[in-house]
Amino acid sequence: MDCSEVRDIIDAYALGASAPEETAEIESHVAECVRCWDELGRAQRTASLLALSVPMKGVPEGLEGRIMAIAREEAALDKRSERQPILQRLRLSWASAAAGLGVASIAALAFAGVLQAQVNDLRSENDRMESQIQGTTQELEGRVRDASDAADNASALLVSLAKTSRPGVEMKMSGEPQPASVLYTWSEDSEEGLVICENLEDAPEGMVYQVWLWADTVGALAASFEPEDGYCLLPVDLTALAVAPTGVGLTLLESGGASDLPDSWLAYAHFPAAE
Amino acid sequence: MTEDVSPDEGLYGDLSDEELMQRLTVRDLAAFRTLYARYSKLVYSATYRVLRDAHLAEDMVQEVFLRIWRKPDSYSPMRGRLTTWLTSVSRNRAVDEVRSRNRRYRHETASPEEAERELAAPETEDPGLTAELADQRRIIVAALFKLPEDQRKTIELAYFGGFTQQEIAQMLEQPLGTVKTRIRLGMQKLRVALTPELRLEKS
Repeated sequence: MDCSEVRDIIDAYALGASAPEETAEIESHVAECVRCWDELGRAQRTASLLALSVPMKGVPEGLEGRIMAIAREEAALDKRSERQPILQRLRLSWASAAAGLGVASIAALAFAGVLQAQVNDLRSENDRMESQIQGTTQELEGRVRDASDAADNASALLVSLAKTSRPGVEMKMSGEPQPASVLYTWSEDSEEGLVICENLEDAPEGMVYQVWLWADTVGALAASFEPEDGYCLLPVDLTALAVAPTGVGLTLLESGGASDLPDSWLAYAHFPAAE
Repeated sequence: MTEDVSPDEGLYGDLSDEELMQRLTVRDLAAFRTLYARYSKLVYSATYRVLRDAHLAEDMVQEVFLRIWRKPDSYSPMRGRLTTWLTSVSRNRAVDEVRSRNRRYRHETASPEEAERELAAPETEDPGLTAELADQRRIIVAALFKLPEDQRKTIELAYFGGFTQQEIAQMLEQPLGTVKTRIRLGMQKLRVALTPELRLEKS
């Protein structure tokens, strides 16, 4: 078969309507003829667009639920088999990334890892509880809902992080050099910031970590927390302060913490001025 | 249990198809659901168009979506856009299914008369499609309906009916040469009319 014979039936081939013997000939021809191969590509792209022309039908109800149920089950099975060492891996990636990357990307990297771990944990917890729930007590159902809501929120944050490289600043640690690092990162399109810490020592008995937002002399307590395995991951509601905050600080204070803006910080950062 | 994943429309809705497909590699159920919301109608309609049976079409939709869930890597942006990849995978699988069934089934369910009855007039509204997809669909339907009727019918019997040129010639009681010419001319015109769409596919 020469080129012109091939061109005569190339559209039929692309539509899937060539006879078996023609199909074989076209295939062996285009394997060696780049011009016809190119022509075939065009014909196939045209044919594939035709699939968009079909009359639209409503998808039967219930189909989504069935497909999602299968997907969910498979995802749960996967998670059970590949649980664990995200935090360990994260620690390595944090250290090596710190050498070459800017603060924002390190924050995003670490944050994504921590979040993924959280999501995985929450989802497995969810699965575990779902399997217990057969007897259906309301309390268990509520916990399943809470776990899945939390996992959804974490997933959503993860998606927002994956999407853009988030701006971020490193919070300066005061006093002696310490292994701990604290980062503050925020999304440009929402009113939410995040404090991420690593290698933060457990708060001594009777002490508590607090995150504060401030603007000049006004401040607002954004969160109190205990680091977990050295990490923290704290969403910060920027509307906690009535005016636009200009900085963020971390304190370690006696239990109960401060109720007024503290005068010294364990770590702090000024936000870059708005452009 | 009720569903445990409700994609945040704002967040997932903003992600591109490629980004959602990437999220599937980490088993993100909400990303999967978002893709389903975007394309289930299209996939169902394409498979229904070929199979003409709601149950078979449903099974096929399930197969197609679980395939991307299990093997998101089987799609590569190099192969064109996700939309056309998905619909042509759906169409191809449906045609395979039709062909693997016996002839009797095929002739009962996809006779030229019925095929013709099924050809809807171009619709103006496509609820359930993204705006971009609805636009693209309008362009393609318009191009298809600008063809002389015998060319359009022949192309549709080939692509959606899963018939070979020889079979179409027999069904329509036309010489094989006539069927070949209709396909060639019709496809050439479509290629010209859809040049901008084809460019999108390639980029």
